[in-house]
Amino acid sequence: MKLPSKVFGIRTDEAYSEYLEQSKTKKEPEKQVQPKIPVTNLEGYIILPGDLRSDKYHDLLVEVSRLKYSPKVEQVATQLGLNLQNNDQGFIGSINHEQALGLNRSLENITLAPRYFNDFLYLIYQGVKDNKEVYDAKGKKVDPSLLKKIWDDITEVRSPWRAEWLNAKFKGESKSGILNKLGILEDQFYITYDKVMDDGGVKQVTEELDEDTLMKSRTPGISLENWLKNPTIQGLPRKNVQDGNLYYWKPTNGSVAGFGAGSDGTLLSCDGDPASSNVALGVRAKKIK
Amino acid sequence: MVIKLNTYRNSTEITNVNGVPIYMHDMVDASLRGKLNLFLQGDTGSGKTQLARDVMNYFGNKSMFILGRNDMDTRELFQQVNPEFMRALKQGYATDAKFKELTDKINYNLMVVDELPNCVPAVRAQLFNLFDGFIEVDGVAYPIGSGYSVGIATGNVGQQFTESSNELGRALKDRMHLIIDTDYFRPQPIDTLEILTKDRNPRVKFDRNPEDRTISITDAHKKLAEEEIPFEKYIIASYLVHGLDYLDGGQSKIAMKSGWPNKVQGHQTGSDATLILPISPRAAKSIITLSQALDQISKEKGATNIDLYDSMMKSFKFVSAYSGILNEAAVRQTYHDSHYAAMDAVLDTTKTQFDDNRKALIASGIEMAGKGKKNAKLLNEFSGRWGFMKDLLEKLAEQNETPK
Repeated sequence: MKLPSKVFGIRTDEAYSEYLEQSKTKKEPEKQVQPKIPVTNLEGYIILPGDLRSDKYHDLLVEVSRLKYSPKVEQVATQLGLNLQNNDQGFIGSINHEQALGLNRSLENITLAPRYFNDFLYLIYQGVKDNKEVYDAKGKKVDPSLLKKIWDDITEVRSPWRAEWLNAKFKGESKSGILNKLGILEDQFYITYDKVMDDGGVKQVTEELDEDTLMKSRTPGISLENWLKNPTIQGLPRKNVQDGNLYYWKPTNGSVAGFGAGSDGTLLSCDGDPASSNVALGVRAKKIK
Repeated sequence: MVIKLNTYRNSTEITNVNGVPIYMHDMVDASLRGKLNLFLQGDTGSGKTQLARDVMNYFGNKSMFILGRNDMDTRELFQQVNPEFMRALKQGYATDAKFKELTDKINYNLMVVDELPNCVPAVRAQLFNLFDGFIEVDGVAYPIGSGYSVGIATGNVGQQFTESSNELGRALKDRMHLIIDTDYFRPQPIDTLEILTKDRNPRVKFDRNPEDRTISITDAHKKLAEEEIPFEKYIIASYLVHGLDYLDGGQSKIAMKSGWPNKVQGHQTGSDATLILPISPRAAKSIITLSQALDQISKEKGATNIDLYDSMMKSFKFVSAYSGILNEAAVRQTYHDSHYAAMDAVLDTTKTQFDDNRKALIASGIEMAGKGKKNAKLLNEFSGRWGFMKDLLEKLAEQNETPK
């Protein structure tokens, strides 16, 4: 068979010479992995730029609402043995922490860890308060009125109760071995969550909790705005966070995280019971852009 | 040869090839040039029958219209095609020579079947044969249509027809090269206005003085068939046949049979690995032919930059959307029942596989194979779903090896 001297507009002799030259210093080719389907039709997602703060990560797409019931969810729920339905507010509730994270994982979503949730909420905050431009998955600017709705849905003090699980599990250990009235003092905490790597991959990591994390509950409270503007690297409030109305419960051994708002206030809970569930406690999805 | 339909109006852009818009009449034009059987799927009133009727006008008296009915049998079909043929069969005197003489007289170049799904399977099978230019009697195929024959069929068969278990679906995807869902490309309001102001007769219009352009159509087909096919198109088609078959660990989707897509595990589920099966070699031929026709049409419409990859991908989209290779459950759940949206996702993924780096590697590989050499490092650049390219280049290199 006669082979062409040019393919895809590239001269084959030049390409080959160039390859041979480069291959002198090039390592063995890497194994190719299956390509991901680029996200094309997710209007309900907002782009969370990975460079919002100095420590960057791969851009993400965060769902504007909590996970809703759909035929796809139904299929996955059947496989997981879950009986799900939307609550009165139109999102899936009554799932415990493990079920929430498992559901998202089976749907090829990732549940927001405190860091990404904080960044997402801060992005919405900037869009509402500072008119920062926020874009949807198709690259279209999101209407500020929609940003306001998202902000109110997550933070506004009003009925009914709306809450969501976050991707964080805490473990406490005694580093010093000090005994106190409650037993051995847990003075070393770890956080386990799904971390977005630089290359867009996702890995479950367990890290020592940032030593600047506020380890004292405040009911109320801490400043929501100050927490959003200046969180720890893991997305939790710093020790010097300003006072405010956001209820905050510190991590405890074996606890998980969640965020919610209702008529009694808005809260960031890091002492959640992973086995508990509530009809108004759902989960939000994010995807790698 | 640019087709202008007499009554049918539709200014909705179906796609864009080489920077020029492609409309419904262009797709019909492409299918005629490529001798690709066309099935127009859609709801009642979307204009598909009128479109087919308008095409008949280009074939003078060398076209035939059949209205599909469930009470039509093969006998009636052949009675319509050629009464003498049926008589010969009935009297049992026909020899091979006689059949040949009779089939030679059937010089229809275009067969139009309205409401094809209404026909019973036996009639459908004979109709598909007629589309492909022959009549089969006792296992012997007798050609008709003087070397050029093509079929256009219409019908509203719902979503089920792409299901593999559905007999009609299988028959359609096997024998119709191009299936277009007209519901996705409905005429624009201005088209409707034009149709309404021209005539208030709601019946499908038949032109009483059809213009016979059979010769120019068959010539256009010959010209297209004689054109050299760029090598890149074969590579793209090979990727669609072999690359899309690849699963992690070297597994094959086709070999998984009914296990696909449910048994595909791991991170592949976020890939097109669970969305689409590989195309068949037959579909690959249709895609290349349609791509050649679209390139030609776009040039006639003023395109100056011909992007082979672009026309191949657009052809892939339209040949494959309803050919039964998409994961129907995923189409329903993720793409809101739109086969075209699912194909767009596949096209987006495929694009990432044909980036500049890969194209340069392919060019390098072609040069290497042309010299009859096998550079292991270069060959190993083609792994995973590109493993087929490694095999291909090795074989080409062997063919071009200098004898010792």
